[in-house]
Amino acid sequence: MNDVEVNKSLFLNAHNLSRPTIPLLRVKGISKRFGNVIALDDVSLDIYDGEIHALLGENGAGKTTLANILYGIYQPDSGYIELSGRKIKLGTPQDAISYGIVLVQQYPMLIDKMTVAENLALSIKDLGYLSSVRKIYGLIREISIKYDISLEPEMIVSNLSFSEKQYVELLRALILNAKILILDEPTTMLTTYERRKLFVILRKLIDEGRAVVLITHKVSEALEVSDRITVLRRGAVVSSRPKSEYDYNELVKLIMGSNVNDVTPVKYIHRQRSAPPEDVLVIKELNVANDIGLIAVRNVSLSVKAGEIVGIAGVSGNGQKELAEAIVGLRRVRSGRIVLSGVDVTNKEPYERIKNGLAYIPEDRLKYGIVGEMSVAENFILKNYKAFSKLLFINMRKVMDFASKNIDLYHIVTRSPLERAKVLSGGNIQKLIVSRELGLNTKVVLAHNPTLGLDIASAKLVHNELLNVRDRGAGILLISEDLDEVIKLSDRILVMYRGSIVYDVSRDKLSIGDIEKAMLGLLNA
Amino acid sequence: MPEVRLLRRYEVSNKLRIATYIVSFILGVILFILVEIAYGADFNDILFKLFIKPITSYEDLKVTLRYFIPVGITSLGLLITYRAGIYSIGAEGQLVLGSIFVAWVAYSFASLEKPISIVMALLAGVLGGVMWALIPGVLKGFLNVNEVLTTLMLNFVAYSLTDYLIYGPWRSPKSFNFPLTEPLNESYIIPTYMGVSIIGIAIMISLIVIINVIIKYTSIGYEIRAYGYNPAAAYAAGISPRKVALLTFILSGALAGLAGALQLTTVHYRLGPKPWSVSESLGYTSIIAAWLSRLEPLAILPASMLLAMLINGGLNIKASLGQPEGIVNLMNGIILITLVATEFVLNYRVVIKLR
Amino acid sequence: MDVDSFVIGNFIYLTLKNAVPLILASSGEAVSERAGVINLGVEGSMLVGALTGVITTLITGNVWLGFLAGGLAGLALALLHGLISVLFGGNQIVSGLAIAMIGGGITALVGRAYVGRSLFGLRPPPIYPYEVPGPDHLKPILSSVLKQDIMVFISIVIPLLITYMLFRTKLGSAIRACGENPVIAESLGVNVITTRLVAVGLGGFLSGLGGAYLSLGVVGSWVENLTAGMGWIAVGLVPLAMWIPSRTLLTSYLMAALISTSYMLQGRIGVSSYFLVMIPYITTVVMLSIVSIERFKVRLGAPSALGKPYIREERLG
Repeated sequence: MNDVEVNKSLFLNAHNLSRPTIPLLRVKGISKRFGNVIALDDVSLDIYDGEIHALLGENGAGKTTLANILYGIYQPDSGYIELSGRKIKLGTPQDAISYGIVLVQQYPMLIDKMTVAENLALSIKDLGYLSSVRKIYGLIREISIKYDISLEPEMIVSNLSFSEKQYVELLRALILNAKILILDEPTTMLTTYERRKLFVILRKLIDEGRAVVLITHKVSEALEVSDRITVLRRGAVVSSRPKSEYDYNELVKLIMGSNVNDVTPVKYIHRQRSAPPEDVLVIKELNVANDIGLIAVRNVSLSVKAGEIVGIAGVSGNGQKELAEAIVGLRRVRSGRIVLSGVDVTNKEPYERIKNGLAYIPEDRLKYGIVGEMSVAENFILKNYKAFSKLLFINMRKVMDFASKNIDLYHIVTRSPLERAKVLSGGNIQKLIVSRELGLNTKVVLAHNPTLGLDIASAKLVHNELLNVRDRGAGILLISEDLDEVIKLSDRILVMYRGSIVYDVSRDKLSIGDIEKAMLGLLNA
Repeated sequence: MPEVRLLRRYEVSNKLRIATYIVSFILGVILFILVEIAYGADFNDILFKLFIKPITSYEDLKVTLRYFIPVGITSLGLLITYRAGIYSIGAEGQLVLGSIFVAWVAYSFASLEKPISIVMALLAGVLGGVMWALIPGVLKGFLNVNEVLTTLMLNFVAYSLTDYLIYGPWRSPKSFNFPLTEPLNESYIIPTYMGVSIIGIAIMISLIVIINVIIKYTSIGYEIRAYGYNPAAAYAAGISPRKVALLTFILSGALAGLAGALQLTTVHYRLGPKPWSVSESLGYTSIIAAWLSRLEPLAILPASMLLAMLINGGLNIKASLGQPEGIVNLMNGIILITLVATEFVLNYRVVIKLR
Repeated sequence: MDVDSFVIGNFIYLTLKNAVPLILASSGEAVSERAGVINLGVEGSMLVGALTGVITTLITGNVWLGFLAGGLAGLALALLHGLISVLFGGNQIVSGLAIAMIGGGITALVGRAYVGRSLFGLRPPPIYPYEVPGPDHLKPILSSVLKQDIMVFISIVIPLLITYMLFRTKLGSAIRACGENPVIAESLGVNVITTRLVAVGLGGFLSGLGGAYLSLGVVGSWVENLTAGMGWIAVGLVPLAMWIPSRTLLTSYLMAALISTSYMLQGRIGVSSYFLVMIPYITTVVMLSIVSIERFKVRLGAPSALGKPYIREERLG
């Protein structure tokens, strides 16, 4: 930990020389634990007005925890926060807002069924509880025009695109007159064009004397827009300096620390096929409605062959969730067909699909992937508990052996196979799911954002397993919001936009520019 | 100024779980005692009537055991539905229907001899309970209709059905205008040993063992537990919600109906109006016993014994103070609410900082 | 049975009256459920409200104070549910059930002294205390409306006001946000605990008021278990009204019309009155099943977080 010490002193010096003024926000010695996990360890940093301050680190480095503490969602176990030199207490988001600190969360935190104005009204303290929401329509329009954001107050949030939702969050921060805006990974789901537009707005904001904290795991992004970069690793600050003092390679090293050797990439070998293999998943003219009854998947037709990975790229909220749920059987389809290995399973129970070799790696792991209250061992047999039972009785010894074997094989960190599954970390839960799903007699895999929120090592393992199961002859439909992931893994790439497949290209002909255009709906299929 | 902070608990040890549980139960009993004292009861007398008399006096012990059996069997059935995350409160109606079916068989086949008559009676009770449970079961399984409301509505319907029978076609001409049915034929009465239904207790204990095995060691139990903890994941994993709803309702209906059959054939021998009816609100009391057991089949034994004691004690207090029937309800409600309130201790940790 | 204007008048009179407790209780429950809290204790709140209404009216001699006290008593019991299920994060179903039991038990105990006590001269007066004008054959129908008390009309206005509150004001947005997703609501700046308590409290107040109307306005005295399942039916009407308070007017009048019909048919047709008593319960089951059929379901506005306890990450208290 010597380098940490050195960097801390460097940071103090730099600060003393170049910045004689008091920082707008000073975080001092913040620590936070969740159960046995240390999320933040003695974190200190200074944030100045008129600056974009990048908080850089890989998943699980503690960035989001820190953001939640600054926004009053979590309370630190120790340490304190100063605003313009005054100690402040952030007990709730309301406290944070009253001090001018506003968080724009990674996934827009808005109530889908309500309008833009209704969502925003909830944050406006001056609006009386019994006043009409209409009173703020004017204000919303005014600010939208000022920052060139095209939103109307009576729009229902569920009809908005991802970037529009993000603008609602920004509007919220502006209506609250935020002095410090914290943006948590705001660009993950944005296309290049949308990203640029966002950065223009952020520049405008700091020119008005605000401070922006940009949380990101992308080194290039931090170097592109920020004025100052703080690197977090495993909950601790390893460096905090003006941007000009860094270069790309140094930042990568700082982020990864001793793990730097772990980043050797997965070998993404794309096989040459000899004979044309059969279609294992065929979807014909599928129409699926969303939760409020509107069509979310529009006339989608696609097929996946054995031994092939088909990736669906697209900005979140363009019907991917509904498509995935329809394929697995969690959502009824309005019209169209879903055929698994030649068997029509349209609107059949999930059981019929599993029987025909469908494996599912869900986006929402805790909701669809595991039964958190049951033991790790019991979760290993969730899909095929019948294979472990004889005359209704489950052979627990067999289950335990199976679980222990998989725990070793996939390096799942757990105190015991009998521990409740919900206490595992996100990465270990995903390993459990992947090992269970791909270990079965799998012919088709539906993987929906399979590496979302995972640390690099776990993500790598998931990618490897997907490639392995493909090489064993399974067909994989990969639905992912992470364009890099889709491009890395897929043999064929589709783009989904407003419920339709608008782009379809094989790996050897792909153009990233076209894909991004398609994701924005700027390309005609 | 001291600062009080509530912190979220992430893990709860079993020791704490059980301790808060016991404390909350005691708290519930104390609250009830306080209400009674406010209504003129004497503290020592209440304690005696609630906890000592129901198990020490032989006459009272018999009564306690008379509640113990139906509450144990019925709450065991409810436990299965609660394990599946299905909130049936319909045991009351299912128990009533069980007793109606038994009476129907007994009046229709009055000449049957033991033991066939008894077997028929118990089967009829089971059938009645299952049929009544299948209504909410099918509605839940096929249309996902809220079972809390349907089961409750059906309890009222079951009461009215009994009223219709006892005031109407089944009313005994010899009952001096009381709305009572004819007593069961001798061949339909299950013998007791010194006033205690050994057969009933044996049935209850063997059922507890069987259900315990089903829930913990079989694939059916696995499905029920997985569905109860996380219906979405269970469904995605191929477990049929329809099967779980039907299965749990059938099992719980069967047990409630069986309890109704035992009530009629060992205790009441005839149908009558509330409060002399077969159910005696035991279907509701069983809900509390099920929660008191923390949905652990083996714990049904002590839980239903405790509740049987409390009902007996509560009724004794009621009788001596001339209080209304609803007093047992009040006791049940207070105990149930203190049991739910334990969640507070299990969800939060209170930290007080002095500064 | 001959249907003449007297029968029609009687039917309208009974229906308007019987609907009041249902409207109040179910529109209140709709608010509570919109905030994500099922309160099965409505029956208990109604009973407590009914008894408190009677006692207060007898003591003060003022029926309006009786209504107020009834509402407050319902509120108090509902807040106990709020304490357990909202603040403590306990199981809403079990807590509500316990509340219903406690309400039933405590009123049985306390109410014993008031059973059969007459409220003569203390009941709410009709809005038109004079001789009803008009031709004879219309008189019964006119008086079925004009002889109602003011609460019948207030009970029509209340769901409309609540609906405005729920769908037009900031408070309404906050309540619905808590019912859709409490975590997001909290992050938007809503105090979920307080908002849910307000919604549960409002629901309890209206249930208590409905109960008080049952004893003071409809029956005119206290009897043990006066509501006889009315509170449960009110809870059942909420999904039928698609969680929109103004629509509880429709469902409540429908149910009240059924109840009035079954009263009026007792002893007049060849069906045992015990079967007529079942009608409201069976109707509720049937209607709940119909609205649960897939093709109707999508349009239902069931709050997404209904019944789910919200346990805040950390709280300062």
